[in-house]
Amino acid sequence: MLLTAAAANSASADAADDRRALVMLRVLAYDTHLADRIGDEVRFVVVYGDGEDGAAEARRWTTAFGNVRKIKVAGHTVVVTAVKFESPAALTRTLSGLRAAALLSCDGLGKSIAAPALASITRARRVLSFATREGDVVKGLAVGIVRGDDRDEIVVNLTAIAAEGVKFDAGLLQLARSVKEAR
Amino acid sequence: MSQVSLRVRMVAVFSLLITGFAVFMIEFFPARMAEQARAQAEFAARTMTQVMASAIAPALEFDDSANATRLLTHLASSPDVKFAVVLGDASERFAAWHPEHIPAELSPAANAVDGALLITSAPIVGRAGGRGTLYIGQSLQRLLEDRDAAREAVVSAAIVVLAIGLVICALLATALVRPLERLTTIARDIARGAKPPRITAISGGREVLEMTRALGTMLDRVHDANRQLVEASRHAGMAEVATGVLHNVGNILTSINVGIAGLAERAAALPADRLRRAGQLLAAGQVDGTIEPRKLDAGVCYLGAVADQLAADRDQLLADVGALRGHVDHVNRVVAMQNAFARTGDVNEEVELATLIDEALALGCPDAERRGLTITCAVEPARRIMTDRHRVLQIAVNLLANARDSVIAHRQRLAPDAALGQITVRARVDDGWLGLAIDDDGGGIAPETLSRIFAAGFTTKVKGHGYGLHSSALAAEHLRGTLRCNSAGIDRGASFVLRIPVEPARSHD
Repeated sequence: MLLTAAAANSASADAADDRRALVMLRVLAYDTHLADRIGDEVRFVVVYGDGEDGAAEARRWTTAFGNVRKIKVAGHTVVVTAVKFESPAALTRTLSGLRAAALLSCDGLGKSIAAPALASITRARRVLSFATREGDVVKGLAVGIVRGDDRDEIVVNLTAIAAEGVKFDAGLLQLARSVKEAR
Repeated sequence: MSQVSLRVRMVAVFSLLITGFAVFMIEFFPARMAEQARAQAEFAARTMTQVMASAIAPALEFDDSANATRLLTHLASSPDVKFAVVLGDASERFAAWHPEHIPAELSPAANAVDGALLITSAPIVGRAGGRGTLYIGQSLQRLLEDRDAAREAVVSAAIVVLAIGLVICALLATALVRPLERLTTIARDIARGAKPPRITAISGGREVLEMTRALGTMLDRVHDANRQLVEASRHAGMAEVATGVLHNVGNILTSINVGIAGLAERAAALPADRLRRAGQLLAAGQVDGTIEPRKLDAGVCYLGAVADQLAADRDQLLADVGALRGHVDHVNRVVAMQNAFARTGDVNEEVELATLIDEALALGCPDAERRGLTITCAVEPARRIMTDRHRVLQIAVNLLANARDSVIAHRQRLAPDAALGQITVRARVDDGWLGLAIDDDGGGIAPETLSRIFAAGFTTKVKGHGYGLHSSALAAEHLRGTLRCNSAGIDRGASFVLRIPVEPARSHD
């Protein structure tokens, strides 16, 4: 029974990841400046930290994005790439090389780089940053898809959004909850 | 329709026009206004639906039905919106506002009317591919009420316009027709024989004024023409009378001339010479003093014979003079009759039919025997009738004179020695009608001239005037009878038949 319950919890978590991955792609679609930041494809980078947990979390998100790969953003195919954080300079090069449009900061990445530091990279590279914790959004990342009581919630940091060169449709902002960036 | 007055026609026509205009206003304007209002409502609803669909798209895409419902509640500001519903890609209900008003079936059409409900729909297309449909139901009740109110207002206005129009039509028609009625009254009075009045200006506009002037001028001219016509008619009547007198008297004068010639012959044949010789013989015996008794007896006998001759001649002369007096009397009657030709109330007199025919023959063919004409009479004997003797005599004399002239001319033209010259006179009374037929074997009448034979001035004679038959026909008509002519053609004789109503003589009653 415990195994069954564990399997059920695992399946529910996977569904939640899939739904949040879908929301991230849809949020990305509501960026009216997206076309200025992408090439033929929309490249989404999942950045994870050291350790087995980081790699597992990266696989989990890669799987979730793979489950919703039929979604096209602004008519473009989405390519998800998992990148292990090595250093800010390496991440900067990777983002530039991939011409990434968005970045997801895995929960375990905080051990390797602080959210404000990561935010400075995404702002410099004009990459829309996603997080799954509201605290990361408060600390400087742009959009958070956080789990609420009964549904996922979109949390936005308008300062970070503007700094990353993103301009969201007003309809999206109506649905999102805005938080102020902590200085 | 021709008996309907002009005023009624004008009012009817104007009423129809105004009524048609009013009906047009009632039917067209409210319908047009309702159509425009509905089009505007549809446009507004469609725009609102599209805007709302655009606004709801993120909520649908991010599965935020609460937010979508919150957006739909903004429709409450529009009092006509009854419900709104957002259906997902699989037609599942995603969000709704006032779902109790949502019909069971929603048409996929962009605009649909369900009773008094206008349902507009718009697709929802999210940026990331999310799809759905927004339906908004809007009541048309206010639109219908506005249309009904507009219709009532237009109907009221149309009724007022109609009433005012009818009054104006009646006034206008009266104003237009009144001058015409006055002119009509004047014309009717003139037609009834009233003296044409002096027409003054009749108010009614320039056209009526011109028509009034024209009518006045026309009446003046008619008056002048009438006066001239009366004058000409008087002259024509005088000429007619004179012509009739000359013609009929001319016929009688022929008889008078024949009678005078007979008188002259008889006067010349009086034994005046023999009486003078008897006187001379008696005078010679008186000189000798010896008159033989034998000679005296012979002289007395002779004188007696002469006296008898003289008495016979005197009687004959008196008879001839009486006949001439009768002819002259007939001339007088002809003149009097011609003078009173147009008058009615002629006096009928009792006359024997045979006597009447004999008089006509004596007047119309006085020298028939001398000219070798054969006249055959078949007259109903001892028939006495009451009729206008002189008028019938005038007709018969004319017909006989014409027959005589035709026969003589025909015989002279063909063969003077030919056995021609037959005139047949038949007269009888049948069922209150006198039938007098005069046939001859003269020159006849061409078929093409038969129809004009009684026309005034028409004649086939070289020295004719074309008056005899014309006046005879008029006389027959005056007697309420008819005069007919038949002829088989040229050289085939002619037949004239007079038929007039007669009354039986009182002596026969």
